[in-house]
This record gives sequence, structure tokens and C-alpha cells, in this order.
Amino acid sequence: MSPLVTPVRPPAPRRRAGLLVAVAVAAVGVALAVAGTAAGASGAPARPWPADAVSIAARLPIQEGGRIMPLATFADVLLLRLNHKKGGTDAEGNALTPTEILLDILLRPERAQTYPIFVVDDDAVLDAVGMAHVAGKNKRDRYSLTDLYGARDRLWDRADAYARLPRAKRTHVEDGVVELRDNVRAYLDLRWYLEFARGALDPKSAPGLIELFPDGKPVRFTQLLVAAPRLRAATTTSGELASTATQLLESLSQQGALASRLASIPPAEGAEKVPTWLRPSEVIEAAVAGAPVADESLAVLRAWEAVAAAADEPSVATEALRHVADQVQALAEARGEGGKVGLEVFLNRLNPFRRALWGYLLGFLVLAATWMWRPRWLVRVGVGLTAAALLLNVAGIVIRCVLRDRPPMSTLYETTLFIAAFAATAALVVEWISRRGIALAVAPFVGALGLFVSNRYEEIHASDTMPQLRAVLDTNFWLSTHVTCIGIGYAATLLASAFAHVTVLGRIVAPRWMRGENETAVARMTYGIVCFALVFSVVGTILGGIWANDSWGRFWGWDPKENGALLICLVQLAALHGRMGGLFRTFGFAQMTIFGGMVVAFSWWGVNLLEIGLHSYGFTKGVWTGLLLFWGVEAAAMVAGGVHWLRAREAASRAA
Amino acid sequence: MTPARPLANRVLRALGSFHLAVGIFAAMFVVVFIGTMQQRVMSLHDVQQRYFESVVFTVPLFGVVPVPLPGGVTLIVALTVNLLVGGVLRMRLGRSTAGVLVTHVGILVLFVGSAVEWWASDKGAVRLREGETASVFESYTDWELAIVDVAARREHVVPQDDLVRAGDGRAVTFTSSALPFDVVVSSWLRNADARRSPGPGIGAEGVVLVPLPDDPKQAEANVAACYVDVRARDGSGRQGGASAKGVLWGRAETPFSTEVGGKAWAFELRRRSFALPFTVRLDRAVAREHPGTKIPSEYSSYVTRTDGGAERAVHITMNAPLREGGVTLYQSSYGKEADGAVFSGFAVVRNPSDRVPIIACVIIGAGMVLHFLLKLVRHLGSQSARRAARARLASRPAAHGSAA
Repeated sequence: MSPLVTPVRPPAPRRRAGLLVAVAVAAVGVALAVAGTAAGASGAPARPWPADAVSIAARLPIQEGGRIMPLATFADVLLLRLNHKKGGTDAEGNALTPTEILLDILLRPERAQTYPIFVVDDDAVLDAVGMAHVAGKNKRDRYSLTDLYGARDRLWDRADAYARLPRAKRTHVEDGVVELRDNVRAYLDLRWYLEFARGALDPKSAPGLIELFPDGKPVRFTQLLVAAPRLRAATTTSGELASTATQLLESLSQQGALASRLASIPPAEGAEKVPTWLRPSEVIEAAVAGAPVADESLAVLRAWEAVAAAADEPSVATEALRHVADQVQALAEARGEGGKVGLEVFLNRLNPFRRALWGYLLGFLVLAATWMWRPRWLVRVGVGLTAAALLLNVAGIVIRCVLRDRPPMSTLYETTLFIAAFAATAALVVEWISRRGIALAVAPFVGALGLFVSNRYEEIHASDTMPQLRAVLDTNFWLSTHVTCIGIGYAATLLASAFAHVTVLGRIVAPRWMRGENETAVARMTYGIVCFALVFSVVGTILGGIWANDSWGRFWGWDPKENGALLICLVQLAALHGRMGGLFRTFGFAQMTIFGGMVVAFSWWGVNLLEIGLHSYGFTKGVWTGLLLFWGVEAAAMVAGGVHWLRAREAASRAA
Repeated sequence: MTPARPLANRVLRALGSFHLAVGIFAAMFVVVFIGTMQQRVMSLHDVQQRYFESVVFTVPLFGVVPVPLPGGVTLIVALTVNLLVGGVLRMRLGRSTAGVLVTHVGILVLFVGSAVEWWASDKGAVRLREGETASVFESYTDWELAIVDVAARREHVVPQDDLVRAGDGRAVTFTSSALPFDVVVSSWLRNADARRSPGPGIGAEGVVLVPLPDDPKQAEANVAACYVDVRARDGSGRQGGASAKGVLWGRAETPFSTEVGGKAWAFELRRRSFALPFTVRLDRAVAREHPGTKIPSEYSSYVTRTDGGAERAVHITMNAPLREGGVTLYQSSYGKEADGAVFSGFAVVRNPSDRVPIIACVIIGAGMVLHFLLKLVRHLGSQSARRAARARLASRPAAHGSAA
């Protein structure tokens, strides 16, 4: 059992900026000190949490980022941030879910600190903080808190220094040091979160305390909180309790301050009156200061004490955890909150977008195999996989709409999900019309590409994918009209681009197939989709202007996002008018369509990277590489197609 | 009959050609792209003026050779001509072109609306503390010189378009029969600081104007300035002199004042102001954040608008402006003054074509849907006919074979 009065103090930090910093630094030092010395604990065999406990914890509502979310979502985001994936392993390599890891960080910290869940992308980061290399680790590898113990002081020092540099001027190693420090800090915020619940004090060990607790039983943190008024009164007396009381009140404050990461206690008042949930630190601070504290809030703290006391007996802890969940859920329900937590946990478990990605990929591979070997059943398997993936993709979007009370697209992340689903659906419709098997293979390809981007974006972004919207975006009317039209325009333009690739690259790799009826059919598909895309691009762009006119007082403000939408319209108009005027035939139109896809990438992602204008809402760190890669591949396809076209023309003129 | 007609026809055909349309779209693409990227280093206002609202601009090729390119105005005029000639006047009316024609008309409506907005709209802002009332709003970037007859409370206004002629070392004299003096404006500066004069004869009133580079990001942050020399026509200026020289600076706390003909006159360089058709009072400004975060969830203002004694309470939010009397007030900012007073900032626009984009959007959307649906239906019809023909072809040899 941890000592109640703050244990081993770390070396005094060189820079202190107020109590909060001091407490944070103390927490770090203590945690790392424990990490370095807890060899005994780390060697103990890990008893997994019962499924019940994990399920209860997963559904536990908290308020984070301005919304009520299940603890499982928080755990997912935490692991994405620390470990760059939704999960991790214990020291022995056994796979653990994010919720299991979070439960251990909160309740069995001495075990959790051995879990290798800190990803270091480049071990030069470790060199920069003077950490000795761990045997058997790669350049990019995962480390536990225990591994990082030796570097604690230098990690903090270096990160402080690098964080002061302008972001654009930092090297990737310096970025890595700052990120690692921030991740360790995020971990420690949780490691200390329930520290208050772990301690108990022998009343006989503190002079005079037996006066307040005459039964002599160990005194828990919440008991001391309830006794805070009497402790405060005792500080003004001359008895031996006076100095104990002063020390205890200070200790309560200090330990309370550590329990600030999660807003996990719904206030007893209504959500309209008090919208913000309480952090244990706030409840403790109020109690120590003698302010009125709701019994319900204290009851939640007591329930956590019971969980912490049973942490090493998972089956007992499960029941205690159930008690915490019951109390929090009852309080949340009374405020009309937390009703959708169960659905969100279901969505997390369903993991529809990752599964759909695999479905699309397999569907594409199977359908691609049918180009060479075409038994009817194999085509059916490919279609079935694609349909199942599309169904999951759409189901995920629908559940998100229900959870958020929003139309499908209100964040950059959601545009990727929608565009994947829409492009795949549109390709299937094209297949239904054309019945040539070409669009059938394009459908899972574009679906997979879209969901690959969404999964990568989620990993890079490592934050809640259902954030609250800023005031200007709080309008379901415009989100469902303008944003949806633009999204459909993007999806259709990219789909047309995919068909254009079939024309351009088909001429190079399968010239005997890409001619005659096949070529005409693909060209018709491309043309039809570009027409469809133009309708939505133009209408969406004008609707955007009308929205801007309603929010900012101008129809057109030359904002980069507006300009991006206009660029898409201009490319499509040029392609269609050039086709009508005989300037572009099949090949030229396909090249223009591929270029249109590149312009969509600029409008969709590129302008956000410029970090100017009113639409830079989607911070897209790390997206540059992907974008440049896309442009590079597309430009290469256009150049290859162009060279091949010129050669073919020369050959034709020679033959003539 | 005469050679003029084929030539006119050829010119018209060229003006309305698809090739010209494609050229214009390509040039527009280049201009919009350059204008977007340049926003990283230039203010939006400057980008607009240089690329989108210009007739021609130059781009330094390899950083040195200036290459002229058509500006936004040239391109939009060219597109309008191309659209009008090729897309409306010369277009054959029929089932297959009806949708395109409707779309083109919708685009022309949009252009006309934008042109009206360009020429006839006034844009500015007004900032109100809780309890304050306003009956005018101020331009973001335009300035004006107000010459005030202090006793009579009568104003004479010199607009910025006239003041800018006093830039680049020139001096411009303004004369009005209603005023007993001429005003000579010199050293007009778009962005300037006013500093203590280093010596007598430099500047005016002990102050010298120092030109500053334009604010690179926000043109509205520029503070204009100039010198004025008030020359009484009958020599009745202050202290019996014929001339009084003063400094006008956009951020000056008090106007320059002098006496002519026994009357006090004030000269103020201020942001151009426009009258509102009603008065508006800010009753309450609201700013909410999502719980436990700094993400704004609501900015709104409860205002009372008064017109001829009639009062009406209105709630202005970020997506619901106050539209009335041809003027629209938008919630644009919120904040706290140094003394703790809460204020709301409103963008104000007087735009006669405010609703035109909605009409244009409906026309364009309907036109395109009509056109492409007709094409799709035709395609499906011909495709099923082709399939039927193929099926017939496929069945015929089989029948022949079996007969043999």
C-alpha cells in the first residue's frame, strides 16, 4: 500500500512555475523513481482483468473534449498517441486492449510501467536525451516507462529547451524528444490519477490523530476529507494534533491535485446549470477548503477507493468497479447525459472502418484475380466482400451520425469515411449500368484507398475523432447541404480519376484490351462521372458561398478552401468544354481527369497545410508526405501516359 | 453580301468558342492558384487587389523576368463575353441544349449579382459594448477626411479615392464653395506611425509621420495618415495667419482643429463610415465554450433594433445574421475590453444582390441536373438498344447452325 503522505520526493526541479508545475514534476520524479526500483513488482505474473471488468470500465462515461465519451474511447486515443496503435502488450508480449492497459495504468501502475507502449520512431531521440540503448531494440521500437527511467532528467530538460523553439525550426529528433516527454507526461497524469484512492493511514502513526479516529482502524483518504473541517479547526489549537492536521491538510491538497486528468464525476446539479463534470481534484480541493461537497461526489471517490484496494484481486475489483460505474451512470442519467455511451462502445468494438478496409482490399484482390481466371463463384466472393465492406463502412458512418446528431461529414476525418463509401457506391452503380466488370474492381479499390487514408489520418492525428464543433460549424443545415455536396464532388472526381487511370495505364500495360469497346466504355464511365462530379462541385461551391454570406457577410472571400473548390470546378469545366470543342479526346480527357484528382487532393488536404484562411480547421501534421507521394505517383502516371501516347502517335504516323 | 459579315461571324465564333472557354478556365486556374499560394506572404486584401481584381499582373519568371498575365477582371470579362456569345446567343435551342442554356443563364445571373456587389455594396464593421447603441458602421480598409464645422455640427467629407492622389510626394488642394478655406493634403500614407518631430520645420504640430510597410497579413490593421494645410481664402486663419498645418493620423485621439472666419473647424482622418437604416443596441453578448474546453460553442448577441420609435429584439448568432432594410449584421467577434466590459463585433454589409447567389444556385443546379439527366437517359436508352441488337446477333448464328 502506498504511503498516504506524499512519498519519496524527486530532486528539486530547476525551474518551477507555480504549484501545478511543481506537483507535476513531483509526480514525474516519483513515478520514475518507483519505475526504477520496482523490479519486484514488475516480475510478478500479470493476472488479466476479467472480461466483465474490462467491459464495465470500457462503458464508464467521462467528459473529455467537451463531450461525454466512454472510457474505452479515451483509452483508444491514449494508445494511439503513445503506441501509434489501438493496443499494446505487457512485458511478456501478451496482447492487451487499450482499456486493459488503461486499467493497469490507473490501478496497477507498478505492472503497467513495464509495458512497452512508448513508441520511439528514431532511436536518435534516445541518444538526444542520453539514454543507453536497450539491447535487442530496433531503430524504431517500443519502450516501457521503466526503460525510460534512466533518462528522466535529461528528457525533461531537453524537451523544455526544444519546446521553446519555433515548431517549424525543430528537427525531427527534437520533435521526437518533445513528443516523448509529452507522452510520458500524459501517462503519468493517469498513473497518479487514483493515487489518492490507494492510500490508508494508521491513526496511531500520526500524533493526536487517534482523537479523531478513536477506533484505530486505518483511515482512508475520503475519511480524512470528511474530517477536513475538524482537521482545519485543530490547526488553530495547541494540542499535538495541530501539526499533524496541518501536515495532513497539505498532503490531502497535494495528492488531490494529482487526480486532475479525467473529468469523471457528473455534478449533482443539472447539465444546464453546471455543464462541466468534476475532476476528483476539484472535489478534494473543495472539501479541504471547507466548501460544500455533494455526497454523490464523495461517494464516487469512495467507490474508487474500494476498486483500488482490490486492484490485485481482479474478481473483487470487478464488483467494486461495477459500483463505480453504477454511481457515475446514475448521476449522468439524472442529468440526461451518457445515453449514447453504450452505442459508442459498440462502435469501437465493431471497428467498422478497419474491418471494411480489409474487406475492400480482399474484395479487390479477389476481383483482380478474376481478370485472369473468371469462375462465377470467385466473382461472387469478390462482390460479397466488397458489399460487406461497404455495408460496414456505411453502418459506421450511420452510427457516428446517431452518436453526434450530425450529418455524415463535419470533420476532416469524417470526409475520408464518407468519400470512401460514396466512391465505392457510385462505382457499383456504374457497374450496374455498364455491366463490364471494370467498375466492379474499381469499387473496392477506391473504398480501400479512402479507408486507408482515414485509418492513417486517425493514427497520425491520435485524438478523438468526434470532437465538438466550433460555433460557426454548429449548423446541421449547412453541414448536410454544402459539405455533403462538396464531399460528393470530391468522391466523384476521385472516382473519375480512378477510371481515367484505367484508360491511361491500360494503354501501356494492356494495350490489346484497352481498345475498341472497352476503351469506349471506360471513357464513357469517366465522362459520366465527371459530369456528375461537376454538378455537385458547382452547387456545393455556390452553397458554400451562401453559407459564408450567412456567417461572415461575404459570398466569396478568396479563402484557400473556397479557391480549392473553385479550382476543381475550373478543371472539370475545362475538361468538359475541351471535350466538346474537340480539344480533348479519350486520352486528353483522361489526363485532365487525373489532374482533377490531384486538384481535389490539393483542395481537400493541401490548403489545410498552408495554415492560412478560415478553413484551416483540420490540423494535418504529417500529411505532407502522403500528399506529396500522391502527387508524385499521379504526375508519374500522367507523364508515363503522355510519353506512351506520343510514341504511339509517332508509330501510327510512320505506319501511315 | 459584304465581306464584313463572314468576318463578324468569325469573330463571334472565336469569341464564343470552346477553345477560348478552355483557355479562360486554364488562365483562371493559374490566377486562382497563384493567389491562393501568395496568401502565405501577402494580406488577403493585397492578394485580391493584385491578382483577382486586376486587369493584368506580372509574375517574375525565374525570379527576374516579369511575365504579364491576365488578372481576374480581364478573365471574368472574357468569360462573360464567351459565355454570352457562345453559351447563350449562338447556342441552338433544343432538347439537348436546354439544360446547358439554363445553366449558362444561371451563371450569368451569378456574375451580374457579383458585379452589383462589387460596385454597389458597402462593407464594414461596428463594435458595441453591452448597453451601447450604434447608427453607423465603419469600413475595414477605406478612410475619409471629415471636415467638421464644430458649432453647426455639419460635416464635409473627402473620400479616400481623392486622398490617395496626395501620395508619392504630391500635394492635392480641395476646394469647396461651402468652406471658407482650401485644404491642401500632402504625404498621404497608407500605413504610418506618428512620432515626435526631430526638429522645427519637420512635420507639423511637433509630430512627424513615418511611413510603415503595409501590414503583411491584415490590410485592416493599416493606419492611414497625411498632413493638411488649411488655407483661409480671406486670411482669417488662426492667429491672423493664412495657413494652419496639421497632422492627421488614423489613430489620433483628438482631431486637428483650427479656426477660420471666426469658426472652429475640426479635421479628422477616420475610417469611412456608413449610416445604418436603424439603430442597434447591444443588450447582451454571449460566449459559450464546450464544457471543460476552450472550444467556442456559441457566440451570439441579443440586440434591440430601433427604427422610428419601433423596437424589436433580435438574437444574432454566427449562422443567423440580422437582415433588415437592405443591411445585414453578422456576429463576427466577441471579447472583453481591458476594463472588463464585454463587447460584440459585427460585420455589416449593405449588398443589394445579397440573395442573388441563392437564385443563381437554384438555376444552375436545375440546369445541370436537367442536362445530365437527359444525357443519362439517352445513354441508357442507346445502351439497352445496343444490348438488344447484340443479343439478336448472338442468337441468329446459333439458329442458323442448328438448322444446318
